[in-house]
Amino acid sequence: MEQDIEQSDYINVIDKANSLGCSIPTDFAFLPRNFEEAVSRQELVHETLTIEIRKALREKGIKESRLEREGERYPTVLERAGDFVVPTVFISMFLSQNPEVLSIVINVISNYIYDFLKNKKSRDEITFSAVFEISQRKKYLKIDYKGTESAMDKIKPIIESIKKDG
Amino acid sequence: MPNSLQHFADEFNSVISEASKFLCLTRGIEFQNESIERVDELKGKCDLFKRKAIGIEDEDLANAFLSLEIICKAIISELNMWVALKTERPDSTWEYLISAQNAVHTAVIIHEIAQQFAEHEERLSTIENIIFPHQSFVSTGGTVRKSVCSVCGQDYEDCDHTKGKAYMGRVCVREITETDLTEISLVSNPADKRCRIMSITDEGKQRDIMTWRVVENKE
Repeated sequence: MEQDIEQSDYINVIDKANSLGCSIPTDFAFLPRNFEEAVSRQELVHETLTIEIRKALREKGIKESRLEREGERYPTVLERAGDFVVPTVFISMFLSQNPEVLSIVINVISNYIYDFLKNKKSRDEITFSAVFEISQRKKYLKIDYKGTESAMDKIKPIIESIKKDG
Repeated sequence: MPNSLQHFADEFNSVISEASKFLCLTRGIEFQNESIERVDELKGKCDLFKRKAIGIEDEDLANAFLSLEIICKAIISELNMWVALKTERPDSTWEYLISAQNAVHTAVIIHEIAQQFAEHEERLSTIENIIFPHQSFVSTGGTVRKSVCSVCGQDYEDCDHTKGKAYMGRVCVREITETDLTEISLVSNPADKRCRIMSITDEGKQRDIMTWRVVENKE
């Protein structure tokens, strides 16, 4: 099946988090589905799978610097269909300059996607997006992947190039 | 336990193999009903062994018996499906098929002991495509504000259990307790295939999707 990767500019994640009154992510964070459009923090909604991926990361002892304030919780999307939407992950410049940590984070997410797909009844396409902070608090790049498998194999070279540029 | 386990494994394979003879349209309903009883009895034994495994805190064994118990449920559902089809109960036929599909899928995921039934899942999918007309599904959209884990009862976001996986003989389910529903949509790939359009209007007549017979408007 066809696989597709697109790159595009993304909004300033830190400014947006500030304007919504969210906590500021320092290494990586899952972005709510409507992060770009939301005008208030109360509107923010996470993808359903954010919870499961957070559990997988927690199992490995990896802590996310969440947008949620202490004790706060955003609702999750009630999935209408069996579609597979992986939450967009924000990777700070700090994390993209720490290849070992970044690699662990990406691998946990990648393994989770692999297991999830393995257990799916049908081989649906998956969508996966990552937002990278290219220059601190200034430039943000979004990578969207759509395909059936191995998103990380396609995305890794892009991450490498980002690290070099950074 | 090892001797009784071997004995049980032989019994399981024998009963399921015998029941499989009746997983088709042409076999007599009386034999299919007898098979349902036998597999139901086997299911009870799976549950008993599962409880024993839980008693000795052998999680892998407990999950293996849970998986076999769910396979029994799948076989019972499929046998019921053929009986329902032959007794002209198409809606029940669909319900039994989806139950069988879901059960096999779950059993295969939660323990490798059921891996041999993975092909059975494809068979059920083929049956769906061959014996039923195209179905239109509906699904609700909205947000989940609160949910609890079926295994530990804690807030699902806080606990370490993951939905769909088995823990000491129990499948983890995310039980949604607080939602804001915003829409109902037509979808092609629903979260639950039992949520479907039952009848449509065609040339002024309301027809049952399954039988195409005219149904009474209940308004």
